[in-house]
Amino acid sequence: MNAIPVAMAEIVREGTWALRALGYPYGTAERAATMLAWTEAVHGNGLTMLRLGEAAIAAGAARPQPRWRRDARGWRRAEAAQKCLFECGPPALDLATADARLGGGIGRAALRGAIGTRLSGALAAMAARRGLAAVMVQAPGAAEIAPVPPAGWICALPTPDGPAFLAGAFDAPLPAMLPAPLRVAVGDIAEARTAGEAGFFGVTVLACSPMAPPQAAVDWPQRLALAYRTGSLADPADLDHLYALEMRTWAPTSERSRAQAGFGRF
Amino acid sequence: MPSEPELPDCLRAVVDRFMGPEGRERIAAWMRPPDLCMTPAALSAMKSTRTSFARVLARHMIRDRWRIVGRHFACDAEGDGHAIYDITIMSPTGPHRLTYIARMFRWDGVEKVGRRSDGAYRDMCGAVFLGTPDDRRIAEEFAVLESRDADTMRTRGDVTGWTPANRSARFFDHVVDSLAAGQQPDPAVIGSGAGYLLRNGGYLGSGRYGTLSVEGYPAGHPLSHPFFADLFGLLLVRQVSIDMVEAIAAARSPNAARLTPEIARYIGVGNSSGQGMCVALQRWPHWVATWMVVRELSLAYAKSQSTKSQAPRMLVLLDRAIDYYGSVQVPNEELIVPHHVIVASLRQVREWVADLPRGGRAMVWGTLADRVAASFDAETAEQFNALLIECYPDFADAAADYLPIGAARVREVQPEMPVAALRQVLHDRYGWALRMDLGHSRSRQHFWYHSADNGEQRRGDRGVDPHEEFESFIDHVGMAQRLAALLTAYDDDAPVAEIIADQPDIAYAISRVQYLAALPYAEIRGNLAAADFLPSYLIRFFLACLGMECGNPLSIRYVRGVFFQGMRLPQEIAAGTHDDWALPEQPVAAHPGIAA
Repeated sequence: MNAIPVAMAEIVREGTWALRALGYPYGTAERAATMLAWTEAVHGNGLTMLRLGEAAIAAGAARPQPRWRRDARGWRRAEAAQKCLFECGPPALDLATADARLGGGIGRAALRGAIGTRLSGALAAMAARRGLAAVMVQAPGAAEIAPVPPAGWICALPTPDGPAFLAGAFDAPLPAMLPAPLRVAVGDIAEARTAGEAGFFGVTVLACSPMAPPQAAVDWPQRLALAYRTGSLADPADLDHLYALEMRTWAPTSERSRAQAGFGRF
Repeated sequence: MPSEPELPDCLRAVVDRFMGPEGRERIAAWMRPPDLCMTPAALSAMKSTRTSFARVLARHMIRDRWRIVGRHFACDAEGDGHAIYDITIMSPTGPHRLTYIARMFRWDGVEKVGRRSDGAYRDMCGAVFLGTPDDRRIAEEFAVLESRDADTMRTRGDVTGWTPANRSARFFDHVVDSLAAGQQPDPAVIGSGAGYLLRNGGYLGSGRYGTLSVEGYPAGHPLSHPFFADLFGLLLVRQVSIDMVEAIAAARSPNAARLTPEIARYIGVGNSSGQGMCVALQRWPHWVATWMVVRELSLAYAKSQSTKSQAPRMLVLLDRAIDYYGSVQVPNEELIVPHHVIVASLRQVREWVADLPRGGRAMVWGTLADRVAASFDAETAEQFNALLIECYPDFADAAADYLPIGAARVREVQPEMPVAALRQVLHDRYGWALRMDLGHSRSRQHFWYHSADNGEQRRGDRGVDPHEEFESFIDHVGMAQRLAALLTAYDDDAPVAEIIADQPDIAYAISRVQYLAALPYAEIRGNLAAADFLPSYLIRFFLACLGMECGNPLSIRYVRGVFFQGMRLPQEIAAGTHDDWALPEQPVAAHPGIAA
């Protein structure tokens, strides 16, 4: 494969339409497109996921929205029924954010049966943009879209220099510098380990002040900046597919359609 | 009636700096309410001002003495050729280099419109590189431009964008023929074609075809400002047009003349734009809010000033505007106020200004602006307003510093906001939209869609034309009404996150209402889906904000006009000349038969 540089803005612009082609309404697609671009830039294979997961994403989009409930501890939970995190990830973060900000402590939301766990990092970045410290825990289920990402946790921490990220497998302990209230995320890790085929995605957030940048932070912000400057290297087949999806949203041409274009007399 | 939100901090500081703290009330009294100036018809009448992006870019270029030097320019008698320019910028953030290349194609006798549906088959195309690429990279990019095939063309992140353009053949040929005959072209002929030889249609940057994303510019880069890369590419097309007519004429005749600086300055660069601009304005409402608050604040400041100051300057500007509108012709006057009407009105205004009392009781410009608005059409009034802003350049320039700040605003949902609070914001800020009766006949007739003809934006009839399910977002009125209805289904104290959890796509509407709540002039007060909405209204507005003069709808969906007419030439920019160039007077024609 001769990788081809794809601009971040290109992924966001075309991705919005590509995701609409898969069945997402505008408001969902335009939010999801930024997650797609972030994932492509930082983890790679975001566009591959779109190509290989097209059918699964579209099928999930056609299903009813998850019904969220609070469990005995007040945490938000839902069964995603193989909907993609493109669609049900941001609302999970919204619920957790609202609970954290209104309650003055942590907010938690968990989904079982979601696909697209490759997008966990993008959701962590979204939390960081809100000034939250966050722990995402993901365990891909049997229906996960290829290429299947590893199970593990991601921490996003606000620092004076912007968000810092740490990541690890389930065997690795959560970072010592993590604010104490976020340590409840070990419960998510335990649940994720036993989620089996359903898979698991959990988000725990805390409103907190910026902290010192961690030593072991991963280089995701640098990858993102580089992708903005030079583009993200992608498989040409993935880029072609992105455009092919977008073109599904284009109406067929006709004499009538051409008359509806700009140039011409009225 | 809820009052408009306060000015952003940055603009409040500008007001304080120029007027002191008591100035806020004085200036607020002259700020126009959105119901008056944010309707599509009102926006359509607005003219390019000192705060328009082309003017701001020009000011930066002249201030920082950008050097644009031709490295290579070769084309034959038919216009087939290549050009390379080196650009050096000593900006406050340090030195920067850019490289511009242009591929000009042999004239094939076909006048091209420049629509997106026509793909990349244009008469020329230019590319701006960040830095100084090596010869191999330049050759590679020339090969891409050479293909003229939109389906296969692709570049890399070292290119900020491509700017394609087509000849305005009659006027291009007039200039070439005149120069080849050893004469200067007739400025009146150039003016009769709205003042340009090459006309751009579209800018392919901001990630398109692999170009650099806006967020990818190095910090402090001179082009990392909204629309600067687009407009700089456009300005370079203008320079290519000047160099190209001279080169073709030289290839045709050893005795060819070169353009005099007066006539070269008079040549601008054309642009044509279509319905996609309406979609862009709806997609980025904080852009609209930013442009409008800068414009309206600058105008309010000027209106609050005594006519004892700047009356002579206003007379000079009125003379220029009268000459400009009297000499530049546009092809279609059906959808605009005809230039001869604007000329007659501005002449009357000039008399009023000339008769302003020199002493005695002070009168503020706002009083005169009100008289103009009450006496003449909206376009005359807005042209007068544009001249008023021009009379107080220091304030306008300070206010324009907010343009990149406002545009950088990020929309992010506030999921914890209680339903009751959002409902209050919606009623306070979108009352005008909630009161619109969308049950009326034809109130939702239209939708925008992308066509299979290269994705060109077109406007279809709802229920009749296909792919309505993939319509582009333009219906902010319907959005507000849907949200208002949805909010009634939730407890007042529920966080809006619970609505989003049930209907994830509503996050867009919620975040839009939330992030615009603090901005004055935040939404266009009109229904774009209605049968009586004219896309040309908003296309003209967008282009005026970019800096287009003579925005002329050739149809209700397509607008042409000219940029940078009168803009200083490269050697003048490098010398740091003054930036008072807009609305240029038409040069006097050289005596026929006299070689330049």
